[in-house]
Amino acid sequence: MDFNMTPPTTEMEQFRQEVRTWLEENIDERMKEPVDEDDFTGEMYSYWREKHQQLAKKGWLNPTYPKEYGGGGLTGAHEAVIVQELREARACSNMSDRRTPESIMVWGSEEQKQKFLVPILTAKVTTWQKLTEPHSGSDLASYESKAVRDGDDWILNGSNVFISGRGARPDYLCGPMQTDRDAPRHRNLGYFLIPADQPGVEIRPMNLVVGNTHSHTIFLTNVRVPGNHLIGGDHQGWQVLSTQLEQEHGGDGGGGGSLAPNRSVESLITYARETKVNGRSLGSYPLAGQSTTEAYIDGHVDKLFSQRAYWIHQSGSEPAHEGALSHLFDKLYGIRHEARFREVMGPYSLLGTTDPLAPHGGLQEIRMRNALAISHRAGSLNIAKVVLARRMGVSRTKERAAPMRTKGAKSAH
Amino acid sequence: MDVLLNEEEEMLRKATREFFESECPPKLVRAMETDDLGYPPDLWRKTAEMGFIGLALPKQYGGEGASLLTLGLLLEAVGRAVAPLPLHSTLVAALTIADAGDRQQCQRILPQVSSGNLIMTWAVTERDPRLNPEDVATTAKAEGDHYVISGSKLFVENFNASDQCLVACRTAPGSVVGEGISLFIVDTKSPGVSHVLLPTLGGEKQSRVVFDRVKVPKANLVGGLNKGWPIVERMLERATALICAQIVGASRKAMEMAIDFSKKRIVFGRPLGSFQANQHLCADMVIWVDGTEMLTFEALWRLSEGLPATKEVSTAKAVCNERCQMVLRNANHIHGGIAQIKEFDLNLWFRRASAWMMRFGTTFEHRKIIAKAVLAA
Ligand SMILES: Cc1cc2nc3c(=O)[nH]c(=O)nc-3n(C[C@H](O)[C@H](O)[C@H](O)COP(=O)(O)OP(=O)(O)OC[C@H]3O[C@@H](n4cnc5c(N)ncnc54)[C@H](O)[C@@H]3O)c2cc1C
Repeated sequence: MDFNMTPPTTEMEQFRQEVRTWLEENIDERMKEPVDEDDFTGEMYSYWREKHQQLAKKGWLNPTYPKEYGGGGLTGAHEAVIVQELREARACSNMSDRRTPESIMVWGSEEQKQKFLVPILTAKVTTWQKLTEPHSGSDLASYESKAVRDGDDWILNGSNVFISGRGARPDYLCGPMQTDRDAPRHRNLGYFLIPADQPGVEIRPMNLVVGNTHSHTIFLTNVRVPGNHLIGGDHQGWQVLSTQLEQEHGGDGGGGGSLAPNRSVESLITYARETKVNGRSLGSYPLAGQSTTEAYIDGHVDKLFSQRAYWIHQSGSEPAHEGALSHLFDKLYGIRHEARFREVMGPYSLLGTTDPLAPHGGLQEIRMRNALAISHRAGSLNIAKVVLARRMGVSRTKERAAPMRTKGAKSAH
Repeated sequence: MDVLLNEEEEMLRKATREFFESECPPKLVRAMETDDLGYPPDLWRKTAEMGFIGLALPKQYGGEGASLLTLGLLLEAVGRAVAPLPLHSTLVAALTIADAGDRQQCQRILPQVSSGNLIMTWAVTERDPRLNPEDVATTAKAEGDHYVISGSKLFVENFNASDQCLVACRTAPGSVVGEGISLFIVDTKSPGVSHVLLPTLGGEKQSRVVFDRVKVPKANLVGGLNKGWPIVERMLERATALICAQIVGASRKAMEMAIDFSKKRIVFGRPLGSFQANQHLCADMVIWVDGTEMLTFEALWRLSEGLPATKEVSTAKAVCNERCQMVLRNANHIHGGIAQIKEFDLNLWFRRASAWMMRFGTTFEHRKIIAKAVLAA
């Protein structure tokens, strides 16, 4: 057992220094991640597309994927360092969704890995995860968007909502399509990588209340996709999707995102410490101090849960309930956390980024709106509870984890 | 013993609900978020014509003389429609004049308020949002037959639309908490008054107001010199109880929308409402809504009866802050992704009510007050 996020070795320290120096020398201050997503410009998008390619070359964009597929071939400890330093430098996160590569890694043929995975992991192309349909998000197995064979190709028709992604359009929209209208649920889907820059693909922005999201509606009208864009068999889409959902439901410990210090908890603590009420720090008042302490404890437990799930994923063991638990805790904690900000900051927590008195540049107002999405994005809170219960065997059969890359790369295909 | 609404109260509840439901659709609420004035003058006029603005103002000054509890029913209906009207701020100020103003002030202001011709607000908070007297640093200095006010106030509601503003000022250094504060009626168009609108989550109008050597006639002092804080305390107590009514109204409506949605949305081949997980969320909501409503009515009833109500008002507000937020959250949760779309109405309720909860003290201040009352020997 070792609770260190990174081993306290000189080698690790040197690596951290290397990453930090590179970021200091290579990232333009003006291009850093803005507090408000609305301030993310087209210029920033182009800048970061280029930077991500440079980061990928160094193996730092997808550190733990194998080198031969464009990853860094590095350890989880390296990833922790990279994630921490990137966050510290306010670097923009990857423009591609994090989950599609996992599915290709596990279910793609060698040819598909070369064709799709390498360009994705090296940031030459981008992907958006296309799952939710207007009639259903929770019940993904009820997918209605259809793919019909036409010679070697497929013709796609359907629509989606809430598809997150930066930029005007990705290179690929990735998700399931119904390939067999007569087959039973879970056996009627195929998983496709759909080139997005072609006639029949219409992408429209959605205007959401929540902060820091770029969300889209997507319409596919007679979109032609070559047969080799189908990942897994034409009735295996649900299994491919399960790998993706395993990750979405916490199976990769948040992909290392939680390995960095929790900014949000830190900012609450700073606020409670530095705000003075009658000459005393706000945090020294019992109730404000208590809320801040609870936030710290919750945040710490949250980190431990993700660290455990992350480690299980990295070490190639099969997760039981750990990912699902981490995913659910993250949601529940997020909701409690947001309330604490309001209690400690009062009306200041509602001030937007343009007001000079807004704490932490208005970050909190954005977080308030963001917190609205916690119950929904990456699967609803109710579903997260069901997933966890099933992993605990509270169901007819105890559900097992879908194959993931570190283990499943060998076993699934 | 009878904690239910009587027939007359039920009728008023019905009438006010119907009025705002028909006169104030979500489209209007949304339009007012980007409107410079922030409220529809037409609806304000109609509200006055219905006799709603003067409902709880004294009869001799053009009001209806109804109780605060009755007024609570009106504000519940306002909250239910999240009506973008400067009603709460106007009434808070007007009721304070009715409570502590002299005859001349009452005559000058209250009939105008009842008829819808005068919009008001109040300004106490400066830097610290906790509404403590120590935090009042804005000064008023006597100069001839005037006071000269200098300082700045924060989170002032509807200032942009208001004609008159009640301003708490320091007129003497206060050694004992609460001493040395006086309350003034300030014409918002006076030279030296300026304001900036705050960008807030709620989309309502709040301002930071600066008073730069603003001259106010001596006749505008409300209550005695240096004796303003007890008046402010009473004002805040009424205002808190009344905002709770507004929060409860909005929360109940959000709950109803969520229950309605549960019946309509099909998930896994059957109505969402048939899943027990959803039923649990609904059961929680109704406990919280009914609970906060009873606490609010109790507080308003005590105020109406002239009974001490500090503990009850704070209990209502502390619970509103926590539980009504959970009601709105559950309602949002039940709706799934669709409620995150700006054009979908629910977020208007979420954002407005969240903003109301942040007014008149967070849970902390109110728990502190409850603790003091409960633990007193
Ligand atoms: C900010 C944001 C970003 C998103 N990003 C993406 C993205 O990039 N890609 C993508 O594909 N999707 C994305 N989504 C969509 C998200 O995954 C869905 O909103 C979510 O899965 C819920 O689906 P739904 O909205 O259709 O709600 P529904 O599935 O209709 O659910 C409605 C309600 O029913 C409840 N419910 C459903 N089934 C059950 C059950 N069996 N038992 C009890 N309760 C149940 C749910 O909890 C919810 O409260 C995003 C959503 C948001 C808000």
